[in-house]
Amino acid sequence: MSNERLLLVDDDKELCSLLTEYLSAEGYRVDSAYNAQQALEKLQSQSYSLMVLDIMMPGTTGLELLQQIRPRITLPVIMLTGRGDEIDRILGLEMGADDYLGKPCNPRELLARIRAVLRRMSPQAPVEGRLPEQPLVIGALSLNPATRDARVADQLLELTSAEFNVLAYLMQHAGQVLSKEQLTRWVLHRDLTAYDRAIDVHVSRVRQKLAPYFEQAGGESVEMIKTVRGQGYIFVYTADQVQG
Amino acid sequence: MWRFNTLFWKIFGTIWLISSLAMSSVFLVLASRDDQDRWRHLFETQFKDQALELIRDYEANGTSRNPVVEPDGSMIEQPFLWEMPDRLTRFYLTREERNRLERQRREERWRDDREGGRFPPPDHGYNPPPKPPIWLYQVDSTGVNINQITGHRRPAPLDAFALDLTSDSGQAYRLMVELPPPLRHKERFASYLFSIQMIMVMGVAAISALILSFMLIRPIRQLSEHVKQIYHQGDLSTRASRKLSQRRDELGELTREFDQMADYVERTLQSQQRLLQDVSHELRAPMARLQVSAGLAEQQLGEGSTLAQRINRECERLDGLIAEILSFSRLESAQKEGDRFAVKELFDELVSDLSFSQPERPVNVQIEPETLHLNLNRDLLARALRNGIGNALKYTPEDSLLELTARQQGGELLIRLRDHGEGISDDLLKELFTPFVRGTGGHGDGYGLGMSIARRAVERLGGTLKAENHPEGGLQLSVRLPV
Repeated sequence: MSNERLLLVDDDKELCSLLTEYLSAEGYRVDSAYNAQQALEKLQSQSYSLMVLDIMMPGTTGLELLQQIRPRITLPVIMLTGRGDEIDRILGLEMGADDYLGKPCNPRELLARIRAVLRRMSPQAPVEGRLPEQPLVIGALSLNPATRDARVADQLLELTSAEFNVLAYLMQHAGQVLSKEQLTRWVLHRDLTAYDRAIDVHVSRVRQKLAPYFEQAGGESVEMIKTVRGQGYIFVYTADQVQG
Repeated sequence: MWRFNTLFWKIFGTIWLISSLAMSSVFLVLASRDDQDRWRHLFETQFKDQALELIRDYEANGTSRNPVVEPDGSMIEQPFLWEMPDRLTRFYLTREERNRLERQRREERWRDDREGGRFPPPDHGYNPPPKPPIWLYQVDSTGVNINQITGHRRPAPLDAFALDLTSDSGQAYRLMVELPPPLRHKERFASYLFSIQMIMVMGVAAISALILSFMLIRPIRQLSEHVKQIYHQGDLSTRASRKLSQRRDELGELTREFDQMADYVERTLQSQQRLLQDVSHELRAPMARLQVSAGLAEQQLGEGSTLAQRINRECERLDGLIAEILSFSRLESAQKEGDRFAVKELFDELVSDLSFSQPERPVNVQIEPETLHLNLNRDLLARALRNGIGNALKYTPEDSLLELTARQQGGELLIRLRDHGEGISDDLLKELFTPFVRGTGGHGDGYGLGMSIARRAVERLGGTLKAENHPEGGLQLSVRLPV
């Protein structure tokens, strides 16, 4: 089937071997690393399509590992966090993880997330919500989905792929409310789950990154992405507002 | 402090009473001794010289010019000597008698001034001035009275005070005076009681009692404040102030013992929580493996296998339970303080979460004032409210209204979550916050920890969580938080 190579990083060797067995049966080639050091070595010697990273590891934690490899290594990362560790979760997403999953988790769920992340990395994105080939330009802000290049008045904007997609979809549908469900499906290629904050975190990261470029005289920023209570997010703009 | 049944007033009252009693009795003893001395001194100064003159007269003439007083106090002739001096009257006369005497003397003086004093006293109501109960005897060489020179005709009482005199010729005489009647004591005692000295005594006693009470009560109050802090704010790590625990007295000892007890309780609770946390945490690794194994079994049995589904379902239940226990035990170490956040944003988030699972549910949100912000651990409050909402969603019909209101009232924030379901029975209401107690009739499976977690979370924030059936139906949860 597919020859995609996954890297599992978890200190629980038995769990790794069970997951390897499970994911192999689904057609993935799986390597395991039991600590951050091994993970770094494997990442250097081999190229992977995706990494599943456990946050709770003795020694260098998953978060620290994530911090070390970003933004140098761009492979997608799904992190496993203890349940209820919302802070880890948010930190992980902020540090560039692409999605998260509570641990212990149903392997089927993990498989679904892996597939979703891989799917959105693949050139053949699903028809629904596909981004246009032409660059999106609104005022000083320009995004090129083909080259995944984001700029504000010619200054390069550093965005993770999820953040890029969030902004791109919002810009594409500027002036139109996009629900969290829609955004989750388009950006994360999966369905929204209960208490799911992934999209909110991505949106707030994008806001933070845009803020310094659009500061007004009073020190406040023009809020381009607005929250519509109970409905979702909307990119509001007037071309002269987005001057940069 | 100003309630009168407090220890402060009890101590104050007791000390004040005892010290004023002690001080006043000392004062009375001293005063009465002083009184006797004064009486004796008066007696000696007033009568000694006159008695000596009398004696000279007696020795020269063989008789006394002065008559003897009859037992009823009347005299044959008004003597010069035996009128009682004013300063002695208070020992022998009642206040009434003294007043009458005073009045009489004033009248006499007035008459003397107007008419030369040559008028005889009016018959009516005139009392002769009282005579002092004295006796003057001639004494032989052995000290025995042999001849009364003047004084009352009745014999001198045995306990009479005697003053021995010697005339120029060497003859011994004895001047005797009756001791003031004990009846007079009462009157004098009363006059002491209302004297300025006595008021000062009471005042001094009151001040010292006040100081002593303060000294005793202040550290006790401090200690009790400290205990309150431990108990009400759940802050087991606070210790008494150094000033209190370094006292060398019993209160210092009590404080130290108390701190040790708090230490002990803190350690015990901590180790219990550590254990709970460790156990649940350790359970998660095998749990994760179990789930993957179940996944593998499902893979091999085929997706539709009911057996695999069942195993999966139980795994998830178990996982959920462990997660709840963990989050319960983690509450204790959660921080009370947090970043400032808008209540409105939190409520929006909660509402969007609940409309995710029940999109049809009508929700009414009210925040007063709209811009309300809090500096608390947002996660704790969110968890408490989320659990409350989760319960409401689980146990009330999907089309019934849910009300979520927040209002600032003085120094506290009141958050109310009210559903319009059937409410719950009183028995269940009592046990609502007990871990692992579940209601009946709900859908979905819970672990009975939601409300315990909610309460614990609110308590960690220094607030209270109460549940009651609303008079107009439905269950109402009230969160009170200090702002």
